[in-house]
Amino acid sequence: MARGISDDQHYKDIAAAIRTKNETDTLYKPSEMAPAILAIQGGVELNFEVVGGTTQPENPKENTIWVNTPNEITGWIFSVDEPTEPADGAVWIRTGKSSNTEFNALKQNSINVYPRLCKQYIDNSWMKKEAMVYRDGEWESFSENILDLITGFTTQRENGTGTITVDNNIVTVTTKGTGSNEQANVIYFSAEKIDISDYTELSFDVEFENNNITSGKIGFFSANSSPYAWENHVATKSFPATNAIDGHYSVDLSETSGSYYFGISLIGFQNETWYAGTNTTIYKNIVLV
Amino acid sequence: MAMIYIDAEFKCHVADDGTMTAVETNVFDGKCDAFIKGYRFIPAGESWTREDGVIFTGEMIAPWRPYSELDAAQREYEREQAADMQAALEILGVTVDG
Repeated sequence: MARGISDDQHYKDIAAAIRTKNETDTLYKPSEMAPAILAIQGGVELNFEVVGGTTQPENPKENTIWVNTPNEITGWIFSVDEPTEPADGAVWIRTGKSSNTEFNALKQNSINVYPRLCKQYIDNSWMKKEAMVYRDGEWESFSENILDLITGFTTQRENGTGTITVDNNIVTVTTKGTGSNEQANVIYFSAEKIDISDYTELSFDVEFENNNITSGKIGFFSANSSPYAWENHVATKSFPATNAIDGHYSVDLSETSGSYYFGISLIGFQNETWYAGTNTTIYKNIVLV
Repeated sequence: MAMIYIDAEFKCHVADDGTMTAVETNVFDGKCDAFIKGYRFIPAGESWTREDGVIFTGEMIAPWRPYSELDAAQREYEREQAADMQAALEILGVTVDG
């Protein structure tokens, strides 16, 4: 073995440089420095992968994003706004401020990503694609919280009183009888129309309390000018009073494109001798899929 | 309230071909036949499974034909209704101020 004399300071500098790159406090012998240098990861390591195909991947890793597509994925983009000049086959994952499928994009450090919708650029247009993220042993579909798409609610009412409150993504609506023998009609509409063209389903959880409503309805309406839930409804789910069961429900939107008002209606019977208490309905996880 | 008829896929019809289920509902009051026939009506207590496996329970209504077509048909129906009413008023010699 050839031997020579080297300044110790060089070894100290090399060791310090290694510790800076791998963010450790490890002390290195000269014989350990070369392997340590080789072990240093270049660039930033991602914590997810985007895969295509028409069959859900088997044995996926955590944070695998599956895009249900028969078309080759030529690249992927995470952004709020539609990408300009995409390549054919590129996948755009639209992101927002929140998502039920959020994940950390990096293995070290953190960039939280909130995917909401997936499209692929095919033959010069963006085509919506079903997409899911694999987390904690389950596949979860991308979805859009409807409360993130509206600024608030307006009210159309005939008779009765009631309220709508939104707190931590939970919508609570109430209606109360007047005591006279009149039917109360109330619909809480979104302040603005929502474009539902990209979605095939409205999904939500609902709980009923003290309900003697004659009918509750949730879904989309073509106009926000009437308190009568049987007018202007486009796609809705109804809950009859005597058969209102807590649970998870959906409304089919697969043939409903365009912009409509999201609405929640309550129709309450007002006869005080029957029931004049406050009816409450609680909606959670209202999302567009 | 009016009677509609739903088939095995819960698609709405305005006449029964002998195989359908009759449903009395006010959901389509004032709507023309073309509008009604473009809808799916799932009664309370029943459910429909879409071809992608998503299950929808009743009572639920949703278009199975593009809503834009149904809306166009309904608007044309309402225009015709208004024109018929106007013609009838003219025959009767009734004028409407304003």
